[in-house]
Amino acid sequence: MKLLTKTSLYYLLFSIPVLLLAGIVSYFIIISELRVSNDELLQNRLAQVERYLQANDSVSVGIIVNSGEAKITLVSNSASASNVFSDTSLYDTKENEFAPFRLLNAVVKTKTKIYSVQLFRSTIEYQELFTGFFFGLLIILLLSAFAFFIINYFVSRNLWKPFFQIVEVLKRFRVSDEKKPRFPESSVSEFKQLSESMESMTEKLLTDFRSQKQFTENASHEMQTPLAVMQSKIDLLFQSDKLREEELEHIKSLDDSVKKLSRLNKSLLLLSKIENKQYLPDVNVSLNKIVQQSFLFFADYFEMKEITLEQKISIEVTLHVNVDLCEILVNNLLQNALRHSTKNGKIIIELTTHELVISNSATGNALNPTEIFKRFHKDSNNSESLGLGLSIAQQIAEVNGMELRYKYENNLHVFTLRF
Amino acid sequence: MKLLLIEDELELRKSIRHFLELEGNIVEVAADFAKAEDKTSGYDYDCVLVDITLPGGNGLEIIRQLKANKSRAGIIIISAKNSLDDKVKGLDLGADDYLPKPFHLSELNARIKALMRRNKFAGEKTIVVNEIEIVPDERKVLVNKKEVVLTGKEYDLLLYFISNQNRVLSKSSVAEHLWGDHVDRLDSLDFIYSHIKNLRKKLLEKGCEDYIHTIYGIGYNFKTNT
Repeated sequence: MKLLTKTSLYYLLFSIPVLLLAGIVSYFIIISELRVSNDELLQNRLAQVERYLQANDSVSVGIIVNSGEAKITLVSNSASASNVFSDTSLYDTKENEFAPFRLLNAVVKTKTKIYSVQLFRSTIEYQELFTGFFFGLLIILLLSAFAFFIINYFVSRNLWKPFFQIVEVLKRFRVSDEKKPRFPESSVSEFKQLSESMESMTEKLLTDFRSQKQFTENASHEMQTPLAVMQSKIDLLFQSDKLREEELEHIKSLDDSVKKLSRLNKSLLLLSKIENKQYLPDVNVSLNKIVQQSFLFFADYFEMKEITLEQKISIEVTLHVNVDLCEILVNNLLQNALRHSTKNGKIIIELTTHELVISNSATGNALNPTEIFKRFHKDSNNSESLGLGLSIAQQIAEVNGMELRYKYENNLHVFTLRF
Repeated sequence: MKLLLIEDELELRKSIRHFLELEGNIVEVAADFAKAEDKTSGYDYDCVLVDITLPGGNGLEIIRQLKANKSRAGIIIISAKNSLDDKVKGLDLGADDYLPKPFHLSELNARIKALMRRNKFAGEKTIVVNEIEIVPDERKVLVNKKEVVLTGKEYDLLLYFISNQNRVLSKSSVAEHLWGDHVDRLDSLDFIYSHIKNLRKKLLEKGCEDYIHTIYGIGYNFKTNT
C-alpha cells in the first residue's frame, strides 16, 4: 500500500468520529436554540392572545383557535396563574398521526373572565433536522474521501516526484560502473536532504570501491613478486648439479608449496574480483563452444581415469556473459566432476534451454549441498584441492544471474546450472 | 641473442639474467623507467622483457616508445598485475606475449625462443637438435629424416624440452606449460608421465637417442650434451 493511501485512510478513519462528535454537538446546540426560540414564539403568541382577549377581539381569537395551534377555554377559577411549558404528543389531524408538540399552558385573566390558554407548536422539525444532519455528515465524509483521493493522485504525481526519481537513480546505480549518479534537485527540504545524503553515500561507495580494487591489485602485485622471486630461485636451484637427492627433495616440496601458494593467491584474487563485479557481462557466448573447449582441455584426464563421457546436447545455447568467467565456471565444474568420479566412472553432460547439468558417478555418499560451496571446504582425502573451485563457480553464477545447485541422485553427484 | 630485461625487483632480475645467460644470451638489465628508456632508445635488442609497474613510470609506455621507433625487438610483458586490462592494453600496443608472475624460468625461456622463431623472417625454418628436426610452422617432427607422428601435447612437450635442453624441469613447470595454470591442478601429475612415456617411445622407435632423463620425484632433463 502506498504511503499516501495509508495516510489518507488514517485521516478518513479519524475524521469519522470527529465528524460524528461535531454533528452531535451541533445538533444539540441547534435543538436547544430551537427550543428557546420556540418557547419565545409561544410566549409572544400568548401575549398576543392575551391582548386580543383583553380587547375582547373574538374575531382574532377565533382565527388563532382555528389555526389549530391554540385552545382557549373559559374556567371558573384558577389556582395558579403561571405559564407552564411541557412536551407532549398530540394527534395531528393534518398528518393523521401522533406527533410531538411543545405545549404552553397559561391562564389569562381579563376584567370579567378567566381563560385557560393552551398554545402548542409542532416540534416535528427536530427529527427532520436530525435526518438532515445525518445525511449532511455523510455527504461531507464522502466528499472528503473523494477529495483525499484527488489530492493523493496529484500529490503523488508531483510532490513525490523527486522521491521516485531518487529511487530510480538508486536502482540503476552500480558501483562497478564507477559513474557518479546524479540525484534530482528538489525544493522540498526532506527530498533535498535525501538527495544530498544519497549523493555523499554513493560517492563514498565509489571511493571505497576504487580503493578496494586498488588494494586487491596492489595486494596481488605485492604477493606475486616475492612468489616470482621464490619460484625463480627454486628453478635455478634445480639446475645445480651439486645437489644430493635429499636436497632436491626439499626443493621439490618448496616448489610445490610455492605453486600452491601462488594458485591460492590467484584464486582469491579472482574471487574478490568477481565479488566486486569487476567483470561485466560483455558478449554473447556460445555455451556449447565453451563446453567443447573444456572437454578438449580435460581430454587427458578423461583418458587416464578411463571415464566415459555421456553428452546429451541437442541445442545451441547462447549466454550473455563474460567469456573468461564462463570458461572458468565450466572448467571448474568439469574438473570437480573429474576429480570426484571413480576410475572407470562416467560423467554425464546435459544441455537444455535453461540448464547445464553435469553429473558424475559418486565415490561416496551425498555431499552437504551448502557446505560444498563454501570457501576452503575440502574433503579430507584430497590435498591438491584448494577448496575454492566450487566457491568460484558459484560466485560466477551468482554475479551473472545464474543459479548453481547440487543434488545427489541415483548414485550421481549432480550439479545444475540454471540460466 | 641480445636481451633487455626491465624489472625492478633485484632478486628476480638476478635469477632471470642468470638463467638466460646460461642459455648463451647477452642480457642487459634496467631497474627503472628512466634506465629502460635510456637503453631502448640507444641500443637494439632481439627481445625486450618488460615489467608493467616500474619505479618512475609505466612499462606500457616503454612498449609504446619501442613501437613508435619501429623497433623490431620482440616484446614480452612480465607482470604481477595479472589484470586483463593490462594484458589487453599491452598486446594492443604491440607486445608479443604476456607472462604473469610468478612464472617458471624455463617457461619464460620457451616463450622467448618461440617468439624469436616467429620473428625470424629469413633463415632457419626448422630447429635441429642432433638427429631431431622440428618444423614449427607445420608442427612436424623428423627423426633421422623420418617423420614421427606426435599428438598435440607430445609435440608441445618436445618443443618445451628442446627449448630448455640440459635444464632440470620440475613436473609442475611441465604441467603448467601444457595445461596452463588457471585451473586447480588435478590430483596427480601422472598425466605428464604418460605423455612423456609415449613421446619417448615414439622417438626411440625412430632410432632417436634417449635424451629424456627422469629425475625421480622431481622432474625431467632433456640432456643433449653428455
